[in-house]
Amino acid sequence: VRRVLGTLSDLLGVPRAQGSDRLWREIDAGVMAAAQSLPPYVHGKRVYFEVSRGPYAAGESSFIGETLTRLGVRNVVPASLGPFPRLNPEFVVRARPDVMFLANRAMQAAGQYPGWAELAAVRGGHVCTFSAEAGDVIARPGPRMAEAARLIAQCLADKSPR
Amino acid sequence: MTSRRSIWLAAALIALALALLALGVCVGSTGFGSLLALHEDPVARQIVWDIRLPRTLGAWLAGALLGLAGAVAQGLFRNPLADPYLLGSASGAALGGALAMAAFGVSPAAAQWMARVGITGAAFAGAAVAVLLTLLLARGVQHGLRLLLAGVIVGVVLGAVKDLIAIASADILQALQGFMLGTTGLLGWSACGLMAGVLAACLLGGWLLAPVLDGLALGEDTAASLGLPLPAMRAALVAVLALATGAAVAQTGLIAFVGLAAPHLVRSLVKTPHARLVLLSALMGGLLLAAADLLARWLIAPQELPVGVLTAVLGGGYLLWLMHRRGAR
Repeated sequence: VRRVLGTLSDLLGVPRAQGSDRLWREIDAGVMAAAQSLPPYVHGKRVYFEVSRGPYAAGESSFIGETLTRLGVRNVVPASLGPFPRLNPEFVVRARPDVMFLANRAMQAAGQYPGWAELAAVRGGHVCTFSAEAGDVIARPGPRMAEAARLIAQCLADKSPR
Repeated sequence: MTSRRSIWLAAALIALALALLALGVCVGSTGFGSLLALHEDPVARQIVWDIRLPRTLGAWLAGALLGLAGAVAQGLFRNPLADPYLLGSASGAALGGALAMAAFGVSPAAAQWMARVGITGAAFAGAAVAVLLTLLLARGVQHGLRLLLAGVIVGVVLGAVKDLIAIASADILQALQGFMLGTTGLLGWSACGLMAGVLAACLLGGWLLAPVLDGLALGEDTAASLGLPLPAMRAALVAVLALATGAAVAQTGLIAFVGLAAPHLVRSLVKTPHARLVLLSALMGGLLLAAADLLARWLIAPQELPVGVLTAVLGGGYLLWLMHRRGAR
């Protein structure tokens, strides 16, 4: 995102200092603020973020994964699997995440995959879902990433087990 | 002689399927893991019981349904290229799935409603509507050629509508493509129960109606002159075909090639009348899809390959080899 912003800045003839760098600092500060707003019990929780039915998950190396890392939670999908791997549903059962995120375009109620109904996160209601608008904000890498971090952080604070 | 060969083949196919079932229980997101090692771990037990077992069994059942439907379709249309999706059910199911996914993004109310029906329900409804549409266009089942054409037309038109929806809401493209390639990862016990029931009914239907298929192999006029009640039995065959395909497609998406390849594989191994061919094709289809499912989750675990790609590679590769061998002889 940062590189694309820089290129855009150059293309539009805006000096980077006033254009892309400033915007990136704003995003950065927004994400930082979101991370600081989190209550301490959220720290180090294991999370799983599903972006699409399949299940396609957001890995550590994706931009969503980077935001999650900044928020101080641990992604159950390691970077070695690539940004958005298609997982075996069994992987999630074995990973036992504390909190699960289902982006709206995942198009599934949690527990619709076989075996997931027994997951502690599903039984305890530690599942975040987003409205279509919020899903839009979260699923697109761009200037609204700070807002996305805020949405994710809010849900983490609400739904995370204490 | 042939009857003994087909019994041997059936036994071999069942034995292989059982071996795959045992293997399927052991293969998961961590690759191969022995059952014995998992014995004490409750999570592992739950994984085996709730995920791996129904998944392997479900893949076999779906493959069996497709293989059976393929044998019926090839007999009914007297066309070796016929496959279960010929009556438009594939594009109907894809359209249903696309509609469901698109509706999900529209409004929370629609999303809630769709969550209850599910992609599965929508796909089955789509397949059913497509087959009915085909029958309507062909004005019944009496003309094989007309039925064939109507099926192709319905398939093309519904496919176009599906593409239109996919373009209009580009968000669903990834999920839709996943559905089109077929997936066995979503099969639970309820899906297995459903497919087992449908398979039992369709096997019985196929067995009872096999004389018609044998008759049709000699041509429609000969079949009629043999005293077979063609109209009624043809309608029943179409019902078997549609039901088997619809059930499999709704649960697993559009899995390529199993329905086309299974009857050919059986025919290449034994020459047999349709009563046995239908049964053997079901066994062969089940074996093919169960093997593909196993490889889909094994090869790049914990990630998954689309199972439809594997069925095409496996079945296609074997058929090519058979053709090559026969050509060389």
